[in-house]
Amino acid sequence: MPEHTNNPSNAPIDELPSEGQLYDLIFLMNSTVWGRRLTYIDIENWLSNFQSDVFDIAYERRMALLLLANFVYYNEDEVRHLCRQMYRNFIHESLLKSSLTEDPSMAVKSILGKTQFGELGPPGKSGSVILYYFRHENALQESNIFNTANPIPDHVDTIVYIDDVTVSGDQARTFLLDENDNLLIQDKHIKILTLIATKEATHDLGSIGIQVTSCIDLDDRSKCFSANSSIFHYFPNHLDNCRQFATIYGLKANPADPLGHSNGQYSFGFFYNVPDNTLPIFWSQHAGWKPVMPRYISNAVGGTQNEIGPYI
Amino acid sequence: MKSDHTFSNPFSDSNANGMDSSKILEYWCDPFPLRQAQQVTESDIYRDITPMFFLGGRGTGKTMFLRYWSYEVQRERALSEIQSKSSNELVMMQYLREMGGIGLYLRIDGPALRSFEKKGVEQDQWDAIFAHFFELQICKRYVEMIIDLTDRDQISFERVATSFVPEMAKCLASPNSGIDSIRAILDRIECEIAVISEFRANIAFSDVRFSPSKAFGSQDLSFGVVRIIKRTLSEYFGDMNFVILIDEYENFNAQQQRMVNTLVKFAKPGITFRIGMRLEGFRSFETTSPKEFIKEGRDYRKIVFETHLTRNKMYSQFLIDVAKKRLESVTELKDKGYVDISKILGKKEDLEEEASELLRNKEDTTKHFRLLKLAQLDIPIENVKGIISNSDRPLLEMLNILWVLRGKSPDVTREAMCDYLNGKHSELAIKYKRDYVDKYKLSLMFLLASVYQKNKQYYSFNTFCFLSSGIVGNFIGLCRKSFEYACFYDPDMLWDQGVIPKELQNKAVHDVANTERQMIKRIQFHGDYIYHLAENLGNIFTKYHRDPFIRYPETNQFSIDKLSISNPIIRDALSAAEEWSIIQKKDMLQQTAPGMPKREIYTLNRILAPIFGITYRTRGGYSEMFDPADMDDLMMKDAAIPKMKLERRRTRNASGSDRNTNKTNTEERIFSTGEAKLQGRFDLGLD
Repeated sequence: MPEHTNNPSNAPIDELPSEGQLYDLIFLMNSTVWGRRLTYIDIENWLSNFQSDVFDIAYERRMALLLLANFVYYNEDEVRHLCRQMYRNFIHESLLKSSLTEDPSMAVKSILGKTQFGELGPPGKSGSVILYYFRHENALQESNIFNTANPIPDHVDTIVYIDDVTVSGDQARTFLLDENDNLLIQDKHIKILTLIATKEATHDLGSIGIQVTSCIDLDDRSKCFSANSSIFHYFPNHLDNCRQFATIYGLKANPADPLGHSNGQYSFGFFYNVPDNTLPIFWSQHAGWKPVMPRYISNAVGGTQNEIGPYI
Repeated sequence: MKSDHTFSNPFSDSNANGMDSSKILEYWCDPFPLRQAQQVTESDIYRDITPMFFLGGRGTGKTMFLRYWSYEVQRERALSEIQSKSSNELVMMQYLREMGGIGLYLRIDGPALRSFEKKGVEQDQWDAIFAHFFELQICKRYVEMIIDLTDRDQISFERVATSFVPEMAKCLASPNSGIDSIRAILDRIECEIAVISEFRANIAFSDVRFSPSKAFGSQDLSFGVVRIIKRTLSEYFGDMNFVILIDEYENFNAQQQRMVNTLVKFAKPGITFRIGMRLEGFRSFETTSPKEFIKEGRDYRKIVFETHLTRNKMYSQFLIDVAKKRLESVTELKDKGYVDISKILGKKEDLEEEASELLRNKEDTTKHFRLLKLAQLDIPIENVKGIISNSDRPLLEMLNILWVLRGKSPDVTREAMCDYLNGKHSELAIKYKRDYVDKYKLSLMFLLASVYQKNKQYYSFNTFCFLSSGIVGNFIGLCRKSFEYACFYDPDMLWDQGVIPKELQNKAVHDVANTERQMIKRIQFHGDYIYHLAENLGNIFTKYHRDPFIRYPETNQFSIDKLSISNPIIRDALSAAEEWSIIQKKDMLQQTAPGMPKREIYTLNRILAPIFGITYRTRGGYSEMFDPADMDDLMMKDAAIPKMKLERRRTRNASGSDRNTNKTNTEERIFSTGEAKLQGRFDLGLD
């Protein structure tokens, strides 16, 4: 007989993959993509957060492992690859606007001559990390990098801001308005290149004339608890329970935004950090919460930090 | 939250193709002690002029072996020895000369070889183009070697420029071709190779013509350049052999092999061949000359890696050495002294402990006594149980059950056990010990695990040696996975005690076994047939392992007369199964059972054993004897039916009288629930 839990929808737990199967999957991800970042003990430490506040402990562990098994982790190689892809996308879009009769290599040279790239956001945040990889991967010269200490040369007509993620577009909008107020980028074409963007952010920023180009578009399927969530495609009976589970524990982990900044509900992170739109149960260190993918906060006091973490 | 104890997996590099020369040298372990039986010594590799073919399955170390003898690796070896002796003399060339030869490694991948076929070009023309290509490839390696030695001041630049280059220029092109330096020679060769590549790429799309600036036939360069080297640079190479090392020969098609076979047969003084290939990798023994073929013993020596690794007693020491090199390459492990894989994995499995663990925390720890229902007993089972039980030693209980099933009285069985445990030398005790220690212990463990619906665990260095089936790559794969699991599940145990728990080893073993099983389907030719064969063989052997009477202990062999198979597809599929080491042929004919004639015996590769819950070793004794019709079934159907009638038995009752018995419906209901039968785990030979 299938095992039942005290969950309201009475969804049988054995519809979900077993703990062993989920661990096998996580082990595989960990050893191939996550750079052996986690050990069994790390995961068990994280699972110890879930103490049957919502459902039976076995069901809670199963849901937590299901979410973790679906966590999308971008390692350094993938970030480098995405930086190359981001550059190619930018060049491609720019070339589409150039004359068909122009020699493509000359056109690229011309585009780069009129473009400077800078990080989106204050120095030391994730935009700086991505700009670093972006410059290295695409062999950009120093003259192509936007430096607020120096005036922008007259021949530069396009400023391209680089960042890892834009979900709501709010932070980008605020930052760019500040930059504009500081007369830094007036009369220039402004573009944003990101590894990941939502359609909403692309649309909203587009409405104020800022073109967003990204490598990965997030939609409803990427949100853990949307009706179209890819995680629950095969387990629809458990979606509501899991949302309830993540919300209640999310309130412990991050009371202000239990499902992530702007109700993000995402489950992805990068080797250097995890965005705050991701479910806080993964990353929070608030009030004794034990994270599995810790988020490094720029003003963090104590906690685990890696070599670049403190600067993000 | 990274664990404090992290280090790179010492077994992560497993493919010699992807290793650079220094890695080859670092990981090299001397395999010659293993091959004493074939009388191959290290000096033979360069000095014995007889060509040699090295046969072995995927992962047996052929590429590692051939690459080790290449100029690039021997150069590293020489440099490292020179460095260790702090000698500044010009000794690298001297070192190479002392070795007696120089190896030139050539590996042409399958797709490249297959591109010399079809596309509207006559096969004769392709054969000529391939010969041209092959000659240029060999020539390129000669010239690269000369350039390297010149750059390292090991041979005179002037001598090369004034003697070797003009001769080579004449050989490669017309005298006024403008080739005036060794690098120009290399450029010319590379240009000619590029012409071939371009032709192969374009021929499928357009009616291009193949027009090299000069065409080369077989032997023109492979033998011709050696003549030039020996003539013009005799002071360096006069007494040295040039050893052409060809890898993955099984990828050459029949005609391509004929061409190389011709070179092998007619090799000139100072040139010889060392060729690596899969078992069954010969497409042809013929040469390009009518009625000429290469013959083992006369034209070449055959050295089989796989079987010798399996049979040789030094195999386990070789694996310890292989592992040690890798473990030492990780500073953290070396510093802690964790460089002995047999200690990390544990030398041997402890079956007694495993059996006790299996029953620990079980509600019913006497389930195995239900096997007694198969015996014809004159007294109630509960009474028998009381007589033969030994709750601390479940495996002894299993042997006692076996004895009773085979007709020994419970009292005699108990007496034998007690005598054995008390160290008496009674006849009974000796027989009991022989049965337990020498014959059935492992079989009893398999049977016990089956009764409790558990898989027998596969762990320990000894088990890994057996599971690897003579294929070093399998052993490295097992270690790699074990380390991966240890780093994830229990890094502290590995770090603090230098041990990988047996549960993790067992998990790793199953992972590797499943990967190998999945790989079978991907075998390009006959993969589906071979997969069926492996599945059916495995399932047949499983049934033997679950026979409560253990009439054919640890059966995992079969025999088939390959020549009797008339269906060419089945015959080819069987050869392919052997080529891919899914089945392994024993190198001597053996009896399939006592009193039976000798036949060729095959075993299922033991790396697959964990999938079927069967033995990891080869005990011999009984082999399933298949005919061609059986082979059809095994490759095309679900046909896991043992040849021997396991459901009938001859036993004696407790009072000692013989009787024949057939199974009955009552006997089938050994277990109180139908669950076990439902899952197909308790065949008990009664279905």
